[in-house]
Amino acid sequence: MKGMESTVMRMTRRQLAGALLAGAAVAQTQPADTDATASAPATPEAELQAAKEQNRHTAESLAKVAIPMATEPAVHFTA
Amino acid sequence: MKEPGSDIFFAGIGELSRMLRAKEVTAVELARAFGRRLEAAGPRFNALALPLTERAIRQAKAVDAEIKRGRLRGPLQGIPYGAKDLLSVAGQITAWGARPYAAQVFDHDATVIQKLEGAGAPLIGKLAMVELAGGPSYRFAAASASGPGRNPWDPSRWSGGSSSGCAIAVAAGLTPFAIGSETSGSILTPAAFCGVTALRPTYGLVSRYGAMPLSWTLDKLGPFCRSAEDCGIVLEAIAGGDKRDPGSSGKSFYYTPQYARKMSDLRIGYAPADFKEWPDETARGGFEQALATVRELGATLVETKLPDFPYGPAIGTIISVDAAAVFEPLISSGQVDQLADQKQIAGLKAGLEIPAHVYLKAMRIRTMARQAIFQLFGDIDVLVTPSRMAPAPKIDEPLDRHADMVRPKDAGLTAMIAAGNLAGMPALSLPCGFAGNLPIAIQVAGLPFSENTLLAVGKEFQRRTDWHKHRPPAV
Repeated sequence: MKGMESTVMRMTRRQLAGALLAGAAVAQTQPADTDATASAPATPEAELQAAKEQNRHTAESLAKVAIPMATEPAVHFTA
Repeated sequence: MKEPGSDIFFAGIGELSRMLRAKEVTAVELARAFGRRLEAAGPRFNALALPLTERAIRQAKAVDAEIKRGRLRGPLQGIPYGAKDLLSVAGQITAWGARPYAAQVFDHDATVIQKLEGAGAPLIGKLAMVELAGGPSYRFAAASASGPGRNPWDPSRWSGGSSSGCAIAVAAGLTPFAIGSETSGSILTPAAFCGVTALRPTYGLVSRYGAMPLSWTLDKLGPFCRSAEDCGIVLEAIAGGDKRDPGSSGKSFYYTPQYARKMSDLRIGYAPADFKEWPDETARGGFEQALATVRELGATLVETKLPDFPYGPAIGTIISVDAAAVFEPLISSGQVDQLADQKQIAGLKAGLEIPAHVYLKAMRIRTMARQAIFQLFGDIDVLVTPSRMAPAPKIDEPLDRHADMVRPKDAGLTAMIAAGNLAGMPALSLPCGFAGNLPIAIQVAGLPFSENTLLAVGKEFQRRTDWHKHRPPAV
């Protein structure tokens, strides 16, 4: 989580590849341009704050995409 | 009672079926042998959530009686299997890998359980999983009520998740096949790490009725097997329309390798950087060899790359919001704090606060991305890329570290797991070698409902290689 942690570790290519495409859920929530490494937040409160910060970063990534007004969300409803 | 030899634990469905019909072995013997093996070895790898051996033996007795009467149902008749513990089995605990649901019991079978029972396949056990199928996110392999999934190739390594028990059980010869689930990577990842063949079907092809929901427009159920051919057999049995699943496509699937397109007619898209630049050094040789084998299939290889979209943030937002909505009662009751992984707990809580407009933006980007990806298929028939760029990580290694080093400029198809799931595409993971002593794999992905083409590529790849036949030394 960029900007949240003070520690930055050097990583091997294996660790990089693992982090980028790692476990499903992990890959799901990380912005593609995240550069900083992370150590786990120390408390549940810090963890929750980190999760919220992550969501904010994610929203910023989505906001960069220009979406035509006619584009409907990929949800399906049939009457 | 004769004891089956050890080879039987690594036999494919076709061979086991032949043995049953030739009366070289009975269904009861298979259910008992696999069930006991799963009970004995499953806990070593944290792969077993709930043994069902006695139940399986009762099913198998009925199967043997049918075979004796000459009533043959199909290739799965008498073949034991395991199911991820997110699938409900009436009257049995279905804990979703999570402590707050440790005593949960449903009164109905999931549709896939019903279908496999109808095919005559005895269920020998519920298989371990990452809690809540990973939820929005998790940091450690230990994010499971069963403990971290241990890789049969090296128990100090992770099995991958969230369908950890499925991959372990098939890799270790504890069950001939298993049914897992994927929302974004939960079939392909453990299949790659454990060296088994697995298929993520098209969204809506397999009913999710009776399966734990994580994300309504992303959840899929699919098979873990010993080969692409076995995946085709199992998919035919579990696919089909189901009015109880609002996402059901209403389509059936018939495995028809006899009608497969010639390899020489296929155009296979790939990105050179996926094989040369992105993989871990230890895996690069294996991936380049796998690409060379793909080239030998006779298809036309076409360089390509994914359209530029924020696939990770889009699917992350959708899963976070859906998961928070699904588990809102768990969150508001405070029981969420009983989960094993602090990152998952925080992710679920934070998901409740993602604004609706952000969620809808993700879903609109998904619409655009899906269209752009499908346009790619005007020039190609399938995409090939490594399932994972590195072999299984150490079991206590945090899964969410990020790097400060320069990445390759060409993203290639590296976002294929997120992109493929967003677009509802099927994908087949094929073992393709080793990095040290750990398996690596490629995935073959295609347009929705192109499973027969993917399986044909997989079958041909496995005719030319034997990576899917290797057995882990730890078993």
